[in-house]
Amino acid sequence: MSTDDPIWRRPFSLPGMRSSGSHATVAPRGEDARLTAAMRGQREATESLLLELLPRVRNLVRYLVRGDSDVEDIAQESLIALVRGLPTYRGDGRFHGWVDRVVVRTTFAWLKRSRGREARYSEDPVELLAVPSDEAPADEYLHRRQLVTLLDRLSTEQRHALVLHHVLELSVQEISTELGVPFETVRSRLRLGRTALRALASEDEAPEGESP
Amino acid sequence: MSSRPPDDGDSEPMDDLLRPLDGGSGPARRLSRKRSSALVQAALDAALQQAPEPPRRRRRPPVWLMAGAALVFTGAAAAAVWSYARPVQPPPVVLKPAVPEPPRVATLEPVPLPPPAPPEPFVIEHPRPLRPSITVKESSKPEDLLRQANALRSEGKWRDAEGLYLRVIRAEPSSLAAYVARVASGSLRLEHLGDARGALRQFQDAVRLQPGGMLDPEARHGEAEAHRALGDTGAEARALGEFLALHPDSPLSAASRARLRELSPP
Repeated sequence: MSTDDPIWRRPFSLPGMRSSGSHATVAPRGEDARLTAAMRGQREATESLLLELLPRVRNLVRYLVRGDSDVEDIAQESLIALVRGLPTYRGDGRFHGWVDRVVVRTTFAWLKRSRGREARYSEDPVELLAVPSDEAPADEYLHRRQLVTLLDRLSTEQRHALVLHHVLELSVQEISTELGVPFETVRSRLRLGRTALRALASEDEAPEGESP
Repeated sequence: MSSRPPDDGDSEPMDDLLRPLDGGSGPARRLSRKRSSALVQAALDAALQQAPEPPRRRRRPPVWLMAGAALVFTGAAAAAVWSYARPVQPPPVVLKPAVPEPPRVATLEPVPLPPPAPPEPFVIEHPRPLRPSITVKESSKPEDLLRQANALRSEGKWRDAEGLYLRVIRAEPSSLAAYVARVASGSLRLEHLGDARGALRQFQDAVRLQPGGMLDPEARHGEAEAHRALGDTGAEARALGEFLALHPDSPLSAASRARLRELSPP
């Protein structure tokens, strides 16, 4: 992925980055007056839009990076990139797809800058049991939190391939283009990543003292 | 919800573990509404206050190119000013007008006609030719030599140009033409003739003989560059410091600051 241009100026018309349909709440351009107003730079509309996008942005960042400590910083950078990129959004795809792409690229750029220090994470599961959720069932929140602790134990390459494929629903070809790695490499990372993640999940579910 | 993307031949479902992205709760830690609002406000402020970067910044040309261009331009300008200011004019072009016939008057007695007066020369001053001749004339004055040297230099004839610059310096060592020639010679030696020590001498002479002269930025920066070519980083740093102190707004100052930072101990 080229990093010559600012993230918000890169073309966003590539195929893929499908929205997770059932949760898409922001309509494409022309169907949402708020989005149009935000694209024109109206602060109130932009603020409302960002507030709605923030959970999605934070979730995607957390899927992509190890630990929680950098999530807010990267999410904020992503929001800035989104605000600056809004006027360039052409409306020729799902708005969420465009948002996801900006977030992915911002996150990758951040990871590239901070290479070597992105391992500050804790496996402390205490908050899993303590934090309630009013937007999703507690078990769903716990499931996702548990899952990312497993993802944290995969290699970065396998993790990114899995997230782009299974969370953002990109095809192998699209991931290959996005990451700038060969098609077969992506397939290999996916295969190894799936195997490793399943092994970790089984290990995690097994009662203490038993091996999976 | 199906999460099976297309064109992945050996894909296996992972719905039990990884599900498509949404804005629901998790996997990011929950954030209070107050903190969410603060985060969005901060992002908005940052995005709206800072102007976006231009799509692509123009790259500066290399320092040596900027210095060379500035030097050639300034040298040419100095030579032109010098030439126009000097009192000697080019030889006039003389045109001989047709001699008018004397009027014939009918008289009773023939009167001998006076001998025709020699015609007055009719002088037209032609403007100076736009491009000076590159042919070197033995009788050329320093300013002519300087022009010729600049022309040779622009044609890439470095050694010929250097020879003429030296002639200018020898002819009138304390003249403005010699000052320009010293800086030009230093630049030539440094950039094209592989003579950093000779270049350093020329730049130092230029600075010493005309402190604060019109080519002072080029001469002082050239001094630093010559030290750099000689591997004397201490002297280079001192020269850069002096250059920046005297010419902080020079086009060469940004690169000089960067170089000085490189030379400074961490």
